[in-house]
Amino acid sequence: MTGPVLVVDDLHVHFKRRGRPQVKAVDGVSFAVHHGETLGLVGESGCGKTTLTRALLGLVRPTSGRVLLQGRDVGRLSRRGRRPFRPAMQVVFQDPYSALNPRMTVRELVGEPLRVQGRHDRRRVDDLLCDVGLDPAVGDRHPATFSGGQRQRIGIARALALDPELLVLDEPVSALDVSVQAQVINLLRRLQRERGLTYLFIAHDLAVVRHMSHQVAVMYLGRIAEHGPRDEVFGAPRHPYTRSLLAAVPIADPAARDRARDRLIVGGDLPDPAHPPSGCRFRTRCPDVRPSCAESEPGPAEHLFAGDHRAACFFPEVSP
Amino acid sequence: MAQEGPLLAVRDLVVEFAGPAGPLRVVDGVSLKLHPDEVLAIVGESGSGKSVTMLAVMGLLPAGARITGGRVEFRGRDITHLPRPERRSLMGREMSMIFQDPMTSMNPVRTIGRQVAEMVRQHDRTLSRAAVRARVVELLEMVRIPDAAGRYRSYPHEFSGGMRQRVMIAMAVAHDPALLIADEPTTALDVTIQAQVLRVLSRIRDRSRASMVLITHDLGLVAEFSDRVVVLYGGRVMETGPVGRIFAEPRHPYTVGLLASSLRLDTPVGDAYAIPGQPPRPDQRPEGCVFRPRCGLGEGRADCGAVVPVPGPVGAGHEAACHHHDLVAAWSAPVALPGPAEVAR
Repeated sequence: MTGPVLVVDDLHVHFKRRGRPQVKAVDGVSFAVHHGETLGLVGESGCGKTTLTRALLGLVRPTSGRVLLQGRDVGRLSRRGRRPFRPAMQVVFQDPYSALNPRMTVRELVGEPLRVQGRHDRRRVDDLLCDVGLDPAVGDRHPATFSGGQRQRIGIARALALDPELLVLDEPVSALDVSVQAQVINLLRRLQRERGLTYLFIAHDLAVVRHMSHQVAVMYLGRIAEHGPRDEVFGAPRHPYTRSLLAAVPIADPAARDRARDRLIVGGDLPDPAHPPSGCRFRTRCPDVRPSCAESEPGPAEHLFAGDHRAACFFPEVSP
Repeated sequence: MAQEGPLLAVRDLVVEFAGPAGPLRVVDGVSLKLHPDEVLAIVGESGSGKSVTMLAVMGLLPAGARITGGRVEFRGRDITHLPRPERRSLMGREMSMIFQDPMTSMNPVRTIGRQVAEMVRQHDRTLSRAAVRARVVELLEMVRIPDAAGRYRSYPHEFSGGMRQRVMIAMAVAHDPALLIADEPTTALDVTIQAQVLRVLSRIRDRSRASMVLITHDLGLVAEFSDRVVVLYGGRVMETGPVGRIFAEPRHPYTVGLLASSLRLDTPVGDAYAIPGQPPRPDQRPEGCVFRPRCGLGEGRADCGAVVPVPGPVGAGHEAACHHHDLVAAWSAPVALPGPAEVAR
């Protein structure tokens, strides 16, 4: 396979509001996802990850920028125009309770994408159910009779039906209990190994993203603050926002309590996205802010480190 | 501490919900104790009965649910079926609850100041208006609401989620209660905001020495905040013990699985251990040990399928409800703590 599976190039999604300033929910985001890899996209609420996902899926039209799926620009296409590209990119949603039509049986749900494409085959549906760890004997039951974890398996089987190149996984385990989360994560990892799938994995849980991703992008207020290989971003975070995020995660080790007590805590709340701060967007909460940070905005690759590790910061810390 | 007696004791509590096919036992004989100046974490997944147990303690069970067995004691006094006026004099003054979602526990059409003032006046009707106002501002400052006096007239929707949760904490501690029950207090918040709220909560506790029950599914919060842990599963207590022992030497296969399956920032990346199967629904709990269908240790053992294990001592202040707790350490070695068993790539 040549070239990245998905390229997002300087994507902007702005929402105009009558009589009020527009909200730049996605404000110049670029990244690429390569074949067989997972890009983890992390950020807190209001960072723009949901709007970005909706733009990729064609549910909201980008203001500018390009979305290249296997080299073809699908960003500006209508929903109808996207239809031929749809088999290449499928999505698994967060809430397995609302994403599945409760009136359809499991077999109908998993077979529906095939039927729409005129390729329905009962044997293929049974194979898909086996692949995600469901017994084909349950195929005639309705989703209401399944637990959250099993419903998420149904959602994954349905997303795989058309043999997509890319799966967009939008918080796929955040509604699940801990013991079931691990099952679904392991399933997604196995499917990627076996089928060479490419994942865009969107989540707010840093530990989950770390276990799933090869590359990681951290979003803040509509932009990517830091982007790089997983071990670089988690092991040697360069952007103060990434460091604050990592420091805020409670450590599941009672022996590490002292470390927890001394942790760096960023103050304040997310600024109003309609009025982002001048200069660097993170400066109002940044522990390392300097006067010049208010003057201009750092570029997404303001500082570039080994391994294509980028930080949108004028003063990224050199040692972790 | 032991001679002082527990602040709160729950003994063999049974809570049943009315169901179409007869009552559902959501809490099935739970016992626990909270000592003065202690933080007790109640850990469990959805349906484990962790929230319902504490709602029963507070007398806040929803319609259709009732206590059908056991008792709740607060400072040695039986409060299981307390009449309403007596319950009201306890609430807020002696015990308070902090819920997960502040937006649904606040009145959206009343100002923040008025809602906190109501709480302040609740147990002290003699205060002057000026004194109430001063106390409200003091409480809001204590939970680090910026410009507390100026924010008095704000409405809940004008506050961020983190600020609303801090206001909830201010209301809960307005009368310095001896017991705070926090039910997933930060689950709805982003991680940087969670850290702010937790810092406020622990500062307040440092000052007031209130005892706290922390209901959570987040093992990170348990490790950082609690002194002791109760692990619930399927409406029953699986294991109780000091937090250090629970994490380092768990003696129940469910606790082992829970610790091993939770993804962390400080363990090797790879496939995580996953407890097989699904948690049981309250109407489909198995005979014998409620964890048996998912338990690697109990597989094929007759007693596990026949006899309900009761919590028994496995160490100092440490109890496990497992027939084979003496085998757990050896069994859990390949499951591997703290890191996942199988490290891929």
